[in-house]
Amino acid sequence: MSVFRRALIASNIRNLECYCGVQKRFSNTLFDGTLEKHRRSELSHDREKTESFPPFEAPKDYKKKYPDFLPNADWKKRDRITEKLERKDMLRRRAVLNIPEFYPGSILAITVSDPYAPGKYNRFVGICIAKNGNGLRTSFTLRNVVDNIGVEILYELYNPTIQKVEVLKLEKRLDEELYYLRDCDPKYSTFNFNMEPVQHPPGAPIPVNDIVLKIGPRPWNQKWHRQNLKGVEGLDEHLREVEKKLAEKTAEPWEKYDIMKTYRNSIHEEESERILSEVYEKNLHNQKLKENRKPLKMD
Amino acid sequence: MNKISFNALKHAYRLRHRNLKRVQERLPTGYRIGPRGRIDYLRNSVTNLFREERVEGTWDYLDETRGYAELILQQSIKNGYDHEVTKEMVDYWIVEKDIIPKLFEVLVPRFEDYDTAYTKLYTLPYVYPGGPKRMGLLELKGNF
Amino acid sequence: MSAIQRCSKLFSNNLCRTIINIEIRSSISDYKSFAGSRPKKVKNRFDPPEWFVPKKAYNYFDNLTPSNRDFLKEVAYDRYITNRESPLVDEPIKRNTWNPCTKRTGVLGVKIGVLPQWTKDGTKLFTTLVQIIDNHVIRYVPPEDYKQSSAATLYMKNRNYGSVVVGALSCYPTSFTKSYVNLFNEAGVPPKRKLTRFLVTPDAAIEPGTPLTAKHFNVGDYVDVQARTIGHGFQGVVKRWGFKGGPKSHGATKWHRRPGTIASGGRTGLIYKGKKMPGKMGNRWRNHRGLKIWRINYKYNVLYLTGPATPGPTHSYIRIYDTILPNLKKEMTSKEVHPPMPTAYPEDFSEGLPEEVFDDELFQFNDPTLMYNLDEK
Repeated sequence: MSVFRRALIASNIRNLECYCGVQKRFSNTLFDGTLEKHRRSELSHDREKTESFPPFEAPKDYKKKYPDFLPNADWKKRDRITEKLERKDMLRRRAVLNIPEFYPGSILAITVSDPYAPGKYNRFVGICIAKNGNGLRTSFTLRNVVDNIGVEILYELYNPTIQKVEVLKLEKRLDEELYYLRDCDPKYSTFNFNMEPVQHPPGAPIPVNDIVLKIGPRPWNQKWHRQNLKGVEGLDEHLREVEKKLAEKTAEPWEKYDIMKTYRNSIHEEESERILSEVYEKNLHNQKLKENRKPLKMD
Repeated sequence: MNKISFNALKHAYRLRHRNLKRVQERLPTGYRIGPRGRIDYLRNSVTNLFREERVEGTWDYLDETRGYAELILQQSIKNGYDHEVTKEMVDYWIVEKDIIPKLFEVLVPRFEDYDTAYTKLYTLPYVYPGGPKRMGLLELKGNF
Repeated sequence: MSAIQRCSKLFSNNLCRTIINIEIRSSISDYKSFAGSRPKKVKNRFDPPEWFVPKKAYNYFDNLTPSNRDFLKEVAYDRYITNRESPLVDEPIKRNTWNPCTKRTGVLGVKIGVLPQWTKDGTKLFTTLVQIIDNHVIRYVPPEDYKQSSAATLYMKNRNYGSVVVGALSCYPTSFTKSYVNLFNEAGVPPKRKLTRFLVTPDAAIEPGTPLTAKHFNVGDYVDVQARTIGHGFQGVVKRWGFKGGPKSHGATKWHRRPGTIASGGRTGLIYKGKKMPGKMGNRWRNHRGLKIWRINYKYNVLYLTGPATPGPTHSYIRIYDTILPNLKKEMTSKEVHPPMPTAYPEDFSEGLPEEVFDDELFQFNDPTLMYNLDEK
């Protein structure tokens, strides 16, 4: 119960908006704390019943396996009931489609139902470059080189046209965003469509690929020398002295240590535990249904 | 610092940071203006807090230091000095290096079993005929 | 020395002072009228209208003990919920049938957020979620009485419209004044935080005290929405009206975000009314019409409406009512199930309600993945 208590306290603390002097935006609005009070007050005829919290604690993998379920930490757009309804939809979709865990750097194969393709389905293989968003808006891009042309496709995880998600090789890289593959040698982004899957034993730690690639010649897609990339080398050869000086000038090394900023843009452990324990309970429930299903009698 | 897992703060913190606009003389560390100056200022005030354990000043600037001090204490209690990320963080935020052993030998055992916040911020009364600035007092609990 | 100071020296009694003040004020007004064409009213004084009722009670010196404060809450609970007098003293109101000329009441909701949904074709759309918390009807005024009130305009007088006052979010009466709490005696309902008014045809007359929920609407119906937009404060011409401004370099001296010329010069000699200039941007009432209801959740009283662009930030009030657009009304009449008149009562749902209801075109996440037929082209 203490977990829920603290989350309530955090919601009541948002009444400090009156100190911020931002009330011009909030002329016709309610504070979060008052809304929560009204949803649970005795005087309302629509009183929300207090739900019992699941007694289980989710295992520690769950934060990395299911980062979709943690909502966006922007306090202006957060609401308890939208997040609840969003999570329900996500769990229903996951009961129908098996979505495995993957990270930027791993190689996936996706089949999508396409009305304009022969056979009405389309299969694409590629390396995951980036994974963005939370909730029903999670998306990821896959990159591959087809007929000497680089192709990147953006997929939404919870789109109902996705038929199958296979992880051919589960691994991580030194960076979380691999957009620099656009300027590297194309052989590092080509993957065979008929690649055989590499098995990953369950419970084992995820391997980290230590490759450091050499960047190609200018012009570049982005200013790689201003992003602290570890998976790329050979940037200084292509830079002029002026650009190097500007990069030092515009660098912001203090932002890495700004703890309160990362705290405000993240969701703290108590709340994430509460959310992920709901997911764990639902997964156990689904597993029990599968086990209890009796085998068909073939006559 | 993206790999830190934070626990909830137990005091009322503002949902947006304050831009500390006070322009002052340059320090030997370098700048004193802008986002970099803001963090340099806060580093000094946090080390001052850990040294003196009781600090007076303007309320807004102390409110900003309070959040950082609580997070540093929280992480050092949880992980200790041998953890990579906390070591880097503590080495950056504590400017005077003779306070780092004080943190881990005196303050961490004092605050290990606390359920509440580690600091407390008081508002001091207005002193006539001074201006409308609100002065505050920030202290670590249990400082006698 | 002023006149009041001179007179107060002669008469030190407070009573006499009040009489003197009144006499002096009237004499001053005569003096002012004598001096020329000056207004008799005091400048910048705001007299509230007749119907105004002060709302908030500022109990500065309350000093109640916590046990007494809880006792007051118990008293309020007993008065409004346990010992509530049944509103069926008179005959129950007649329930008429819906036709496209009727206007039913609306509902006061709170905007909660935005979520994406998918249709069965595979297209993605964004939906706003609106929660209807604790709504009650507070007053019904029939059209004969409403025409004579000061709020009625010519538009309303020429048409036969009554008015329904709806309130949301009930509170304990300790925070309000006595005159505000007495507005709710007719309905037998705890005092509300926010009130609105909806215009209504006399077909759809409602009894005060009826609760309104998400069952007031059906899935697939169309709805209009009114709310206050996000306020941006005092903004310049580039952000407010989309002017292009000036160049950032190439020698531009102090002209980067300014409007430029305002009028044509000597020809007209004036600036036209409505000229786009800097000013307060946002925080205005705006209507969005013809929004479809894709999905309703009866457990939390949540509606899913089309579009992410309903006015206002999260946790802002929204007025919701049936459309006035004629083509969409035709679609609503052609359906089998019409909206409930005047609202949905619990007698209609004696069999029980599902937790959620979806539109036919909306993809439900329990369904298998979408596949296209091989026969179709």
